[in-house]
Amino acid sequence: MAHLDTELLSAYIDDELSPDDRRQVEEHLSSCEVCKREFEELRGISTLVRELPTYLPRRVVEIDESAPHPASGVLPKIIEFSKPLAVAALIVIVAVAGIRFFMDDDDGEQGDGEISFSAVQETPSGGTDRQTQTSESVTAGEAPPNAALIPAEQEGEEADSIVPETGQDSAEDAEMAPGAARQEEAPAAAFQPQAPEPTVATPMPTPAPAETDDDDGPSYLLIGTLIAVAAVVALSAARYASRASPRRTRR
Amino acid sequence: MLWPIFPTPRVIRTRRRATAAKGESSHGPDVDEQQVDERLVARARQGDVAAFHDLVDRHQVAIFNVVLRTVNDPGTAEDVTQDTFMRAWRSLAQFRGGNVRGWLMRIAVNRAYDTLRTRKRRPSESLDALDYEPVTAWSSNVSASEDPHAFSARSELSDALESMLARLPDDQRTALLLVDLQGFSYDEAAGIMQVAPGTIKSRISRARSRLREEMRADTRRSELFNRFLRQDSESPA
Repeated sequence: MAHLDTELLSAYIDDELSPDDRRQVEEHLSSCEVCKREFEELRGISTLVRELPTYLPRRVVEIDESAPHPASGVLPKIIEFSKPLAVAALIVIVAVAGIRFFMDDDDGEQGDGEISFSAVQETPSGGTDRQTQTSESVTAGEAPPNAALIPAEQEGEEADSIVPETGQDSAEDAEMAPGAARQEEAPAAAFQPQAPEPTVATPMPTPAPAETDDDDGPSYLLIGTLIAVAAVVALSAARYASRASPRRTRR
Repeated sequence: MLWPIFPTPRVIRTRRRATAAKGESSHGPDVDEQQVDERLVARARQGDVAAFHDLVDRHQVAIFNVVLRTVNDPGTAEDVTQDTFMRAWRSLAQFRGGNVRGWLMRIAVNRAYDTLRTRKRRPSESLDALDYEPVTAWSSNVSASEDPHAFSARSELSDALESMLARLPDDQRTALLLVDLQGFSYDEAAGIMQVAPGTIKSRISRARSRLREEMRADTRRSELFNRFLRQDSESPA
């Protein structure tokens, strides 16, 4: 007759067996002296351990109330949600970056100067329609996105020189952009592929309220920056939280 | 406006005597005990330091005894016990509810293992050689006044077991202490040691098997063990 495994006997002592296993063990123990002896000795060891002396600490535990307490303010809530917040922020950053990348890519592929449907639709009035179209074209040509927001005084000065010229730097393109808006048939495509070395040199003017909606570049940048800052804060909080919480030891 | 993120630097040290009897249950907490723990945790989360001290009183002896037998040094065990409750205090917000005793024990076991890793070497002396007398002796039916010989034999067996426990692998000893000494189930012990319940089952089996073999390896110990088994089988369950 095969004897019972020690692990089975040990689990039987602790009442950690399924009813079927338990019944099998009991049936076997009733007929096998060897296993019964082993069972009694293992149970004796268990009893001895249970009845080990209890030692009392000589030093009592002291709680320093100045230690950061979970109920002491806003920080705990931030810490509590910091990990999911950090993950969510990272997802949003990646998503925004991805959208921006593909939008830029799409614009770049519009080599014939087609203005995107959304850009035209977002135009608030007919008066600014063409201006928006042109600014989109310039944006597609790697010029600063705020090119359309150059004050009107500059537009007049540069209006005559609005001719597609290969090799002009992007700053110059940017200044030309508003002038181009007045030329009814100026092909937007002319601006698009001909700025091989874009350098962002034009300082960003303050956007006019009516034009802010049309130009989504700065808002994306702003949102992205804010999210990045939030992510950094959240990750820092998460690091603090993981340091404060007990470390996990996998054995 | 400054938000009250950090409390005013103020140290209140409440000294309380550790009492063995208070709230200590060596064979697993019942539902009422768990409810008491949960209420104390809820109050402590609101900033009630007295409630947290009650929690300390209820569990520090159990934690100290497991940690003591893990690190085998009373001073270190006291440090680990202190650190366990400080960490618990700081991480009350992250406690998701459930078994408070298991949560505290998990912090303690992790801290004890951290200490062992840092120290690299575990003291080899047994507890009886550490000049650290137990306040409460084993809860056997044997009384020193009624049967001094039986009491002496039982004490000797208990000391031998302490020495054998100290020689067990850390993981086996901790699993055995959690289940036998503290009365945790396999699932609870698995949660504390962060392993599968099957691993706990295996570690306990190996630990008991090894202790049994060591008990039989020495003639005197074997004789004492036989006497204990006879008494154990005769005593009412």
